[in-house]
Amino acid sequence: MKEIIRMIVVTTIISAFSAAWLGALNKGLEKRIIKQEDIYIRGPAIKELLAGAPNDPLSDRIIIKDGEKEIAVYPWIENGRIKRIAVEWAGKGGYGGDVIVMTAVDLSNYKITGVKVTQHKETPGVGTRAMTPSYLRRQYKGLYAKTKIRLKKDGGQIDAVSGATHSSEAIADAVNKATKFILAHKDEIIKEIKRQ
Amino acid sequence: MGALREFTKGFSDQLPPFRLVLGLCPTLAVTTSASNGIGMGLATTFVLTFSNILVSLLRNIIPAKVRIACYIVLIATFVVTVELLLKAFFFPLYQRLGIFVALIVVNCIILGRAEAFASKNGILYSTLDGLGIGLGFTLSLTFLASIRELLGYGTIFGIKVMGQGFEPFRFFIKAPGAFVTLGILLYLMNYFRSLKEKGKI
Repeated sequence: MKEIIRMIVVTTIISAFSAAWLGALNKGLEKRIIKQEDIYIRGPAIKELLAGAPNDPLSDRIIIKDGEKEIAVYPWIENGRIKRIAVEWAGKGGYGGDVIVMTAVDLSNYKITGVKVTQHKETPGVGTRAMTPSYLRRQYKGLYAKTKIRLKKDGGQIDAVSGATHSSEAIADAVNKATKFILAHKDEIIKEIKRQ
Repeated sequence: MGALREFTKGFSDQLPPFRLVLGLCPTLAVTTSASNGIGMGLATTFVLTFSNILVSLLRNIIPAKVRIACYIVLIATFVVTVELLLKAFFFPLYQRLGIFVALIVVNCIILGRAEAFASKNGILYSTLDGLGIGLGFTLSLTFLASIRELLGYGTIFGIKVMGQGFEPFRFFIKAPGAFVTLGILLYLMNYFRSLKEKGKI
């Protein structure tokens, strides 16, 4: 009995110290890691989705609060007007976890102009088939942000890639949430950007 | 063995993966360029050294029946630590190494040294053991990776070394090329060692 108690106690204490250490390290490095992801992941994605912008969307970004979360909005500003904005969101339901997607929306007609996956844990060669530029362009470009963006099997307009249903679903979820956020906060977004 | 010997054995008779035949997974997978080899080797050395230190520190506290579980918790903690450090300070390397950083947890060298050495020796020797074997591993990875990069791309550490007329053998960058290169190096090392033992060199 004493042996079993000792086994449980030692293992639990070691695990507790491990969790505390990693939690602290994660918190401590959080800001720096976000900056690195900006440079190497979000930067290239934004450059692609907002290609042609005369300003630097990454440095002109504004932060909008959505409940407790802070969401970054990256704007394309031309001649004092906001042409497009890009927002990153995590879509749930991916095969290996969340799929993080950057969605760009035209602010004159609220149509989606582009979608790009920035981070994922999907199976290479299987789930990644739902992330090709041609598939994303065909499915998402030109959709109105107002519509509920869902897979066809869930009553929406998005074709899932056969064999990559979870990945397709997570991407649709991410785009849907991003567009919902943009529509819900569009006045605040425009006001914040104009303030800069 | 003296303290110095504990450190240098990692470069001679306990050199991974050629003498201490462990850690073959990352050896084959990540040695596609010399800088990847060094990066992976140093990350593994970090985890190996610190896990050896902690296993040695706690060797009289951890009950024998749960030792493997506890070792894995400790090893995994340092792997996540190194992963966060890479993401924060060496992001491009983190992108190139990909899932293989997380797979350092199951690198046989680390659990092997924890069980075979750190659990039975003091902190100083365990530290030297981890450092020596880790750096020996780094040397092996960098060497293997340099050969593969040289033959597969014509460069070493990104610097063009081969002349204009050199046609790169992409074969060496792919998985079969890794096996072939490792096999040939292993053969050469064993051959020269047997010649030395017979007194012919």
